[in-house]
Amino acid sequence: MSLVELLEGRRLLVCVGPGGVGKTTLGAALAIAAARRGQRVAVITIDPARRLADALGLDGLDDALRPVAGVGPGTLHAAMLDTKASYDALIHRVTGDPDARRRILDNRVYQSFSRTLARSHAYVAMERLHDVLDGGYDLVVLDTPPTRSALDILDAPARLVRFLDERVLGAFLGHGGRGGAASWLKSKGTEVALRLFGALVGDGLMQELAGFFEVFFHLRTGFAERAASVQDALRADGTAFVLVSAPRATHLADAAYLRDGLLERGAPIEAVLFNRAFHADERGQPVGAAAPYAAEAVLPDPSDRVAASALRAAQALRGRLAVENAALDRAMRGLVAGVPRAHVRLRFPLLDEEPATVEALEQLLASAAVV
Amino acid sequence: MGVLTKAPVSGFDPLASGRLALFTGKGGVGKSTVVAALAMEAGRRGRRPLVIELGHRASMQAVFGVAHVGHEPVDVGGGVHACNIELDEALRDYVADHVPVAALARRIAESSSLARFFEAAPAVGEVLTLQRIEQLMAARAPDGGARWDPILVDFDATGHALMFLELPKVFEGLVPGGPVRRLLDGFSALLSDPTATRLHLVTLPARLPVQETLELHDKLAAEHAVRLGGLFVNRVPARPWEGDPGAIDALLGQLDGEPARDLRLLRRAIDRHAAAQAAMARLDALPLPRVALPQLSTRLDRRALTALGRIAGGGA
Repeated sequence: MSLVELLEGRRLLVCVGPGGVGKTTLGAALAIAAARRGQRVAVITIDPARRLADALGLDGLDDALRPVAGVGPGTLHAAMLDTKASYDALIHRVTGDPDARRRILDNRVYQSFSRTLARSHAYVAMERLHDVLDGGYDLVVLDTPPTRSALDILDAPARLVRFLDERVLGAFLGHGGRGGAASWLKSKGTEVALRLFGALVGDGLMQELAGFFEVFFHLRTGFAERAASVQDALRADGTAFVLVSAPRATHLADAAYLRDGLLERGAPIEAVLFNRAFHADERGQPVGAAAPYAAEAVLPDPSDRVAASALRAAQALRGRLAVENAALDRAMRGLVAGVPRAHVRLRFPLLDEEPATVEALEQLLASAAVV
Repeated sequence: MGVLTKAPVSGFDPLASGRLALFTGKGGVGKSTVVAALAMEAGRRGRRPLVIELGHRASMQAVFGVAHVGHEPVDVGGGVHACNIELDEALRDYVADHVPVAALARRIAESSSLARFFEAAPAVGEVLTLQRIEQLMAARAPDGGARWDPILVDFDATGHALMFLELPKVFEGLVPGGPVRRLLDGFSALLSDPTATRLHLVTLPARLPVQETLELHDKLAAEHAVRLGGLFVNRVPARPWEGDPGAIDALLGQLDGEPARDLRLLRRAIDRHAAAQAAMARLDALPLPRVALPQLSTRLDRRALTALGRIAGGGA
């Protein structure tokens, strides 16, 4: 299967992989390719390198979707996911009463949650994804944070729904909730556990946490609905997961961990892409072994010792690169063997400069070689 | 190992000070390799190195070629131990440490509502990770000395490390007392103690990573009390040919076919080397000891790791 088939008929592509392998770059390249095929595409990136952000017209001031020029006949909108901005926007959208809104935005747990903490990223990515999926696009490409957090994005909807179960949240808040809460509260273990938790973290944090969860308590229905709909979208037919890695041992091990986590959760990994995966010649083709020749035999002036030395060094370099390419190939096949469903298995060349223009991204995609 | 023996000696020994060695840098720069190599070097010197991998990765398994690195430190060979921090295990430890009655502690750790709370709540994972690092720092060996020395922490990305450094600030005023406050105070004190902690930076000899390292350095210097250690530049390419590149350009006009293709590869490699050198030169602006680690053309096996460790450790 080719990249074209990967893009054909898709609604959602989720790019996952270890940090630093170029997920964002390849995700953007896939989005551009789909736009070139005439689709209306949105790409949500996370922490893109600045030059890539520039290439996509993202100025980093907010996280709005902005059009990317020059990718027709389709369209491409790109957004950079900013956790804090997305949360604030969410609170503004769901909270009509200005006082209530202020209370939420001033809550310190909310502030630290929305700004700094790893897990909150997954929740907001989920919210954002929900909005964009409803935005009338043919295809949405979602970039994810590295390794473990990518699994968090899959787990976040279910986790939030479980947590927003009003019995749990209600007991935590001292509301008691409604319905089944009474029986739940009878559980002595829970009561003792919560009291002890308060003693452990102290009253101040407990109160702020209560305030924070108060927010979620009132938003829980909407949250739960959106969480459920994102969960459905992640498992829908039009969704494919794209596992992105690089062929270094550490990246492959992290990618294998991620692969296993995704498969365990029933996520369909349809493609495995390897970035910076081979030494390329000047035409972008993998450097392979060549028959040896004597430097002196091909030189116009066989007595030119500098030229002979250069040619010997060049031959030795090619030999080294070819051997490395073969080793990289073997390493990649190990990861791919564990994903029999992934019919798209491509590798992309090591580039002298990270691609940071629409043209460079298209060129990168064009120089794909099969694994 | 021809490349390695030619590598320059930095004279800077990152293992000499700071029992807690933190490593940060953008994803993909090879932090895990640097951390593992330095741990091997510490092991070779007869120390008791422990590598802590954060972020639920499997890098250390791959680097050391062992089946599994989990919550409890495992011997990965060469005198090195490694562990990952697993939050449910860390939670059990935490509750056991703070609730003296074992049966009660078990009840808390097993309470499903609390489990749900911990799953969803912010900050819990971060606080538990701190707790675990503190616990490993405090562990004693039978001879009464520190069980782990040095402890090398491999953060999974720049943002992750910054978030940890900012934790005490984030919780300022929020947690006035109690065990979490003590934990955060202890962590602040540990971070700002120049005899105990070093934060090392890892980067690559390329334009963007260097730019990001310069910015990270300025941010750390301006906003954080943590003492910076060394600057490790990973995968520095060797010069592929000593001669004048102009000679290659002249020769290219006269050759075609295979030899010309080979020469063009060489020409590009020379350009890459020059670009790497230029990128590294920008790091001269930083007041940190710099260690250049060579690009390996071989697989990263134990021998290569040991050799890399010697260079990373000052090149004795």
